[in-house]
Amino acid sequence: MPKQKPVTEPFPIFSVGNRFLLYDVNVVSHVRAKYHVCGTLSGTLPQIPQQNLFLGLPLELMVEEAALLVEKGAAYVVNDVATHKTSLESMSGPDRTAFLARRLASSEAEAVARHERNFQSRKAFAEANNLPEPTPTEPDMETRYHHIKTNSEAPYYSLKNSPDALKPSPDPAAFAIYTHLQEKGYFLSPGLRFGCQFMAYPGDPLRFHSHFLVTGLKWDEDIDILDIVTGGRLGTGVKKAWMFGGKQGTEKEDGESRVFSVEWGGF
Amino acid sequence: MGATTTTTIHSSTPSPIPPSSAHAALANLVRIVIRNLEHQHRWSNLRVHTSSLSTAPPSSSSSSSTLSSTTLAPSTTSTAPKNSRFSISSTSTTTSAGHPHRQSTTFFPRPVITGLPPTRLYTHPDEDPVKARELEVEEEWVLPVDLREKSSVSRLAAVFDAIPDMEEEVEVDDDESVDVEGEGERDGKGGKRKKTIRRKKVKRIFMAVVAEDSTVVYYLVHDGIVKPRQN
Repeated sequence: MPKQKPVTEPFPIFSVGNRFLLYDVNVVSHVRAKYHVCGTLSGTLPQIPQQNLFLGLPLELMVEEAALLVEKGAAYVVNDVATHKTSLESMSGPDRTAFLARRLASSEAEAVARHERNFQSRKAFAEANNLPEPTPTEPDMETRYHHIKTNSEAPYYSLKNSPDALKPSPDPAAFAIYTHLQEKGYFLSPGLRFGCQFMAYPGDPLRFHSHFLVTGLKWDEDIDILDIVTGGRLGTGVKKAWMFGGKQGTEKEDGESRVFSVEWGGF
Repeated sequence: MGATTTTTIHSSTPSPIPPSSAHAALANLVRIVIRNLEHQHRWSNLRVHTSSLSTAPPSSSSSSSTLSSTTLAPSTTSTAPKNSRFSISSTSTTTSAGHPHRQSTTFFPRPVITGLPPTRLYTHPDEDPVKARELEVEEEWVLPVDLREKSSVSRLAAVFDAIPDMEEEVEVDDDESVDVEGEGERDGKGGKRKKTIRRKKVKRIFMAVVAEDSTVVYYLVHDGIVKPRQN
């Protein structure tokens, strides 16, 4: 396994169509270790677009995760499409020719190497079967390919925190309970599977089962008693507790957060 | 308000609470839950509280009153007539025992029941299971609610704030940093491996949800982050 390379902060979070993505595997492990931000791997193999297991890069962040990283000054958001276009357009003439020349050279080298590999294997086959040795041929330069390597490290371009950078804007109630639990050392992941906003793990999700199914509310927001019952019942059914809570004075930082853990009474 | 007023509800007499419909509904709700606890779940010492004493405002945790010394003193019930099923202690009771000048009466936003279940209902998952069997039965708080009602974080927080603070002594491993909800003081006894800390007990309440057909279900609500019993 390759060693993790150090990450310089702030790093870019790429925003594509209202999703927040990380392309660089070093950043992915960095945020997991330092900020308890796990995100969700979302990349499939190109030929299996319906793959839903063992997904890979890019890592998609919840809007709360992106907001937290931005708030802590660890990251900034970059509009991926616009940045890609402008950096393509801003490429100067000589840079462009040099890049194309490099690409041509590498594809030619690749073609020659492939031809040589083919020849060697035919030769080995002939020797093993007492056949006449094949005559060497010239590599076919017409059907050469440019081999694009899949990269787990993102090109950083030369990204700057532009003033018009997009801001992830999570729901205030959800973000309040997200940050509250984050501060207590919990790892949070999306809660859709259990019909809540977040699942809270007491440590890294690879090592622990989650403890809580979390729903954030506004301080004075009404909640049906039936929702508390169903939440409590669901939580107990999956050996977790259902948690709901809110922050007093949602706009201010100094508001007090209150959370309640609900379980079935047991009698 | 300082006088002890203990009202007795007989099953045949009408409710002492003013007969406005909201109050009547609430009294009815309380009565259903009380009956359920007493007859179906064999609880004892059932009492209804519409107010509580707290020695300090909820925000400061410097001092706390214990249940046995103030609101829930057994003497409260001994004054009640013998034939009473349960009593409603409507205002500050047994104030003389505590510190009158420091006590302020916090009214429960709505009636809350206390009672003694036949067996201990909750043990923390980290508790040693052998020791846990020997732990004594704890008095529990019950909040009756109707299924058709709505609640909110603020309203539930107000109920918890009205419950007096308690302290508990727990033994924790010394090398392990345990996430303590309240601030703990080190007692220094117990050597290197174990230490005993006093901390504010995490409040819990059983939410008794009453459905239209008088079915009652009980949900345990903890005030704060408390890990589930089975995980």
